[in-house]
Amino acid sequence: MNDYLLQIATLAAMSCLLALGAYATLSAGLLFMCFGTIMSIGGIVAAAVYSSGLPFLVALGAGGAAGACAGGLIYIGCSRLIGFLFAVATLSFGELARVIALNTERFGGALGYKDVRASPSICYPFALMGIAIICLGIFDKCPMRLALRIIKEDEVNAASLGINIGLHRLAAVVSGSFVVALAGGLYIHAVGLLEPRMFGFDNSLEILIFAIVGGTATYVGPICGAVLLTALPELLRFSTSLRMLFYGAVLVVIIIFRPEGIIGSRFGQSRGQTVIR
Amino acid sequence: MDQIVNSLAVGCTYLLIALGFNLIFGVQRIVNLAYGEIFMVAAYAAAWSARAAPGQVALIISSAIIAAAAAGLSVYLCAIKPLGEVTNVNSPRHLSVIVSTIGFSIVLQNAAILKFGAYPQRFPRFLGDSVIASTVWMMIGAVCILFAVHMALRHTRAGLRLRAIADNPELALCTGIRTDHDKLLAVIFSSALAGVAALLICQQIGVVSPFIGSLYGFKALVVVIVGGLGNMRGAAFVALVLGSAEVATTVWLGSNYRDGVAFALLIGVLIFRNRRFHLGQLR
Repeated sequence: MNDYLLQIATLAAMSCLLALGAYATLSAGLLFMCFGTIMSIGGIVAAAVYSSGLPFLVALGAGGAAGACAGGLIYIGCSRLIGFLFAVATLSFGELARVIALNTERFGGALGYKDVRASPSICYPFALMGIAIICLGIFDKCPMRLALRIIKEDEVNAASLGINIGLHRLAAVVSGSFVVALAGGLYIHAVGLLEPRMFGFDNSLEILIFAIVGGTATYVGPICGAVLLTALPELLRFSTSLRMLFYGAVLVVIIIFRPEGIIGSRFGQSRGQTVIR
Repeated sequence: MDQIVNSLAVGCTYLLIALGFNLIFGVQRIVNLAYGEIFMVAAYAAAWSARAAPGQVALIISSAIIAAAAAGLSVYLCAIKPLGEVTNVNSPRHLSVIVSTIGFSIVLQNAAILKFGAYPQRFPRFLGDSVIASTVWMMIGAVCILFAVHMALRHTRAGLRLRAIADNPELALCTGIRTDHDKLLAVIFSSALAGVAALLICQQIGVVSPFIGSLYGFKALVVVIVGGLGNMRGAAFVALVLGSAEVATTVWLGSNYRDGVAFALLIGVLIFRNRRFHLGQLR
């Protein structure tokens, strides 16, 4: 396998992690729009810890924990808002973080955070992706997933069944942020640079689009979406100037013909399981 | 004194772009994230026709409005209508609309980069040569448009129908309003407003670039949400407040933090005054 393919495969593995993090919050019916910030925080913390001499896995863990804390705090701040307004509030947090990062020399300013040591091995993204997929596979079958589905469908109904909505959503946001921040740590060590742009709306949206295009009914959807949308710009490389134009057009076409994502709700559900749409 | 005029001018730019956004939001209950790109298309259409036929003010104005209406219609017909009715901004289907309008805005933005290049171009000051004259024209235009939109919504039959749809779509359908037609009318009207906004704003700032749409689109979103969804007077007030806040930040903290002001305002208002927010009537 040549270097080019390896690089794309690494990016696809990280995109999978990002999409799975977004899946966790989307399955709780939350449109959490500042994953770019979480990813960047995780990346910068991981890079700082790793360049201070600690082992790579410890650094990744520290980044993940920092991202999870940030995600939890943002959720608690916005938890009184519902639906669309929650999305707009989190989006504003992301953009505010971008402006702050752009003007803070500690985060590298406009040039980006560059104080990064090279990653010890290229296997980490793939290994972590494997672990994340297994965890999500287990998560999809456990009672908490069912509770989240009911919350997503109808909050009043969920509350009347005795489900603690706030706690479930907090758990979903924190675990999703942890995974996204891990991916941030991997990203900064693979690329060696983190621009302030990554804090902002564009990146957050890209992460959500992976999951939404793939489909959020099961964990298979986000993985497919992430791999497809990472590969797509490369496949369209034959026409450099028209590349992003095609990307946008494909996005529109996919959403119009499969509004619930490429992988719909039927796929991947065992026969005994109740289908709640 | 300079700074007061300056903040009024900035406030007017946000007011101009927020009006049409507010209308389409109120009637369709959809966040059309391609709205900024409709604005951008209109700005390029005006710049192009001003270069092709310099001095023909009527031609420039009509080309911007027609281009905006065409872009708005194509966004609606290609990216919003096929996804079906969205009755509630919080429904999962609204997610699909957000993604498809983003896809369409990527298409429009890259088409503009392809056709005109990624660098900012000069936009002719066709209304007045100096900065002061163009600013005055923009303010006059903003006030006229605010008044016109207000009158159109309050004192015409079409405005009455639009307000009925914004208030309760099902009930409007039951009383014999052809909601399909009137939604199309709202799309054309609000896109045309984007066209007028593009004309007035670009002749004041004097440049046009493919990325101008996303910049102003964000600010419009903030203004519309803080001012109250569907509330025109609230939007006007918030646009002026935001304009002065941004100018004040530029003066005291430096222009680097200017773009953060809108978002800080939005977070503060959403978190501390969140009881005010629900889909209101189109006022």
